[in-house]
Amino acid sequence: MDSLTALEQESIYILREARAKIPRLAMLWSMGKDSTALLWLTRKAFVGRVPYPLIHIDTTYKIPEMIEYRDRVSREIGFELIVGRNTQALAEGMNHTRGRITCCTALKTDALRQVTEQHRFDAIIVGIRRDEEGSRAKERVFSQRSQASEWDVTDQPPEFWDQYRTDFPPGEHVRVHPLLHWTEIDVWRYIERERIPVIDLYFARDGKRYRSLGCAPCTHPCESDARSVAEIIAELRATKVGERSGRAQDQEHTHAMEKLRLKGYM
Amino acid sequence: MASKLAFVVVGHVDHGKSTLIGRLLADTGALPDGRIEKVKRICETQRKPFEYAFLLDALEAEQLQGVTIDITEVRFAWQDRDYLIIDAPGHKEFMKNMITGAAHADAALLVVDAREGVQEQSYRHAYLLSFLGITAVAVVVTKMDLVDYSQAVFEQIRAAYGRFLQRLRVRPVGFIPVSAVGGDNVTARSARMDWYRGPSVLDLLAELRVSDEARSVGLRLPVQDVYKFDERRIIAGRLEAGRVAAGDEVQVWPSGHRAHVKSIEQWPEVAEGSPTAEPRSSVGLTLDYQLFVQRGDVLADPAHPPRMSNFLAANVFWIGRAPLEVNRTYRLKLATLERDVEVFSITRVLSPVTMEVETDRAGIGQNEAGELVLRSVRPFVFDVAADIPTTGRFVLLDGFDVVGGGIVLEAEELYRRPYRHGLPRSAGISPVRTAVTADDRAAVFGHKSHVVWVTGVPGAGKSTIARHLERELVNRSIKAFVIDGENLRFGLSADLAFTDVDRTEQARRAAEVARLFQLAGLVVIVALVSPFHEDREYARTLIGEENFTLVHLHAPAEVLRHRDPHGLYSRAGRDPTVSVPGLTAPYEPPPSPAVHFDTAQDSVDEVGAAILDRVLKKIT
Repeated sequence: MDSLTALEQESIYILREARAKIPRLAMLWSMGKDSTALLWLTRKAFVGRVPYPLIHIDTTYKIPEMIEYRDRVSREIGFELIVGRNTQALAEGMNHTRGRITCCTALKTDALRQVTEQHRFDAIIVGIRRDEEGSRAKERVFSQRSQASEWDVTDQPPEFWDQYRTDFPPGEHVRVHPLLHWTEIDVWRYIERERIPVIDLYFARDGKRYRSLGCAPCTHPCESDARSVAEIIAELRATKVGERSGRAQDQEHTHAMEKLRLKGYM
Repeated sequence: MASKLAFVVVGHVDHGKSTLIGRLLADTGALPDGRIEKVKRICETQRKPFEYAFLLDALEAEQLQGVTIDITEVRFAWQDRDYLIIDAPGHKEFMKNMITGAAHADAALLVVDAREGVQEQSYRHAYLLSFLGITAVAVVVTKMDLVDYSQAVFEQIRAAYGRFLQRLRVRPVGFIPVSAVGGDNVTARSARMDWYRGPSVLDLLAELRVSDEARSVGLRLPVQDVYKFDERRIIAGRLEAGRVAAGDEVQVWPSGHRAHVKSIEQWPEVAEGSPTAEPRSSVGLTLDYQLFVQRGDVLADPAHPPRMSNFLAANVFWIGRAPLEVNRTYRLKLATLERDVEVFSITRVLSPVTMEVETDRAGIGQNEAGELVLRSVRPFVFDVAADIPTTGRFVLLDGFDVVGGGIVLEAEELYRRPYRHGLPRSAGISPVRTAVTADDRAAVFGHKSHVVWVTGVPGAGKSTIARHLERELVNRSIKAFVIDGENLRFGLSADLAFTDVDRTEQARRAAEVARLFQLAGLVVIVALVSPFHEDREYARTLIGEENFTLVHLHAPAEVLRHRDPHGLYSRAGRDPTVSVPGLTAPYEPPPSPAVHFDTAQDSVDEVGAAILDRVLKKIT
């Protein structure tokens, strides 16, 4: 079995474990390459079905093409889409000029918590990967969160072989990370092999492309001539620039992502 | 291109694991721009010299305390091969994190500080590697610069650690003296240690090949879920061993029911032919026969049934804060099976540091290992880890917390059995070891043992065939004996009548006695109506597939009525209290596998010769 197939099969196993063990389950879909690959893996795992709702956390500051893409794909595939917004914070005029960490916490972390509580989800499937940044590298496949969505990074359960912690006390909930062991290149190679349609923003226009997608004010395209998936893969093999270098919130503080994630950020 | 290598770096706290990895990454050019700058910035703020370790230890608490708390994974490519490094914490407090890191590694580097030599975690980690099944292990002696690159120091560590590893049956593929700070023997051989002639760390890793677990003996598909999205019932699971394709016959355990694979379901649909699923792939399949299948069941090929028993002998590594205790109940998870289990007995406890063995302990403490016997009210389906590792290992939970991991060992004879109607009522019993083996008996008797189970309705000819077969076997100097259902009812089963419940109990007793005689080395012929399929399959499981042949005798109704044993058939019409299986009471003819004979067509000699032929093949 080649390494890409091994990753695919492991992810399918994880998705099926989540569905078998957790009654109220949903998946985060940001329209980015990782969660779009995850949507593909979901349909593979459940023989064409999408057996849980997809959640999009809408900060209202997303790049406009992302919203068009979201609505088109959800129509085409036909799954249940839940759009979550922190309406109160938005009404009070929250935006990145009040501090990026503050804004991310309000419009993403808090919005996700609100959706989770409103729909009483026990677990959320999230497409994070260990190679993205330092604190994500420490994650578990099934990662426990307190009632307040907090992550206790210093006291995580062991994962012996493929036995994940799929049972948890009432009130606590779980983040499921089926792509944890994938790398950025793995995801692109998989998109190429499976011919998964991805949003155009990843492909270069006028010498620039997005490598990581987020809110328009805090996400910057990188210099690139990569116009196809194959060219993106070639570019990534050569680059030494970090994947999230275009994401402003990461650069706010040395341990910015860790601090965000301890509070429940994806 | 060689396949990807995932390796874990383990060893005692502060022995330089993270520094070694930082150096490997820096020298192979694996770090993204900005990573080194970021660490430089952190070190300046904390007024420390540049720490390679900080490249990995990303958490704030880790950098402030200078210890790795959780695992970290990083990747690099070197000479056309991809590597995944798993940095595991060496601190005793974080043992569960070390296990998480090591559990999905192909290989391991055991790091030992040249100044401190072999320490507590050096032992415990080596033990855990052996426990988790990682055999490709190399020892890296770090901080050689701090002992003046001394060959004597290196050799001393090699000798001491080598002896310990040998006892764990870990054969290191190399011992490498290294200075990670100076880069000696990390990527290239060092001029400062010209007395060392072996490979550098990277060269050694490049030579390591991942062993394929595909030497497996049969199909194992633990059921994860059953999907009923439409009219199909799709059984989902991962192939833990073997392969499967449409048309294959499978048996579902613990029921033992058989069916054929009708289709392998896939999305997107594949155009060409019917697919075959290879080991470790997640599949969805449908069966040609609607069986009741649920999560925790195991699909296996009929030639290689899994073990089924209420007892499980295992080697357990305990990480729970509170000790494991005899008679306490824990939750066991083995593949997709979950069961409450009771700790029945602790055979011995081992200190992974000193390798001291204690035999009279009532508990296993944190970070200790022990051999024990677990039992469950309902039978387990499993394999011995030495046969199929993926269905021979499990975790134990206390409440919601994982408190230990286990590997299934070959159990003693008496523990290898399922109970259908409850566990033994006697408390505190344990098996008495036998010194004479089945092989010893076979050598003395000149043949192996076997059970021929002859089933059929009254008058089908069971006793006649059984007696004929016994005579033929004895004439060939084979020690054979007939257990006749009729005769059992004069003694052992004198308390039983002909109700359904009693017929089941009669079959259970016959199976237990047949098992004892078979263990004693005999060829046993059981002649028993045994009308229920479940009862016969229970006998098969108890006695073991390899020791069991099922023969079904039948004859047309008019022949049975003509033979009319004990006047059963003539009385059945007149007397409603007379129970005749197949006529006034249930008789379930065996589906495959069984040997079927029509005794109205074939003579006693013909049937006898055909059975004899099969039995002789099994016992010689």
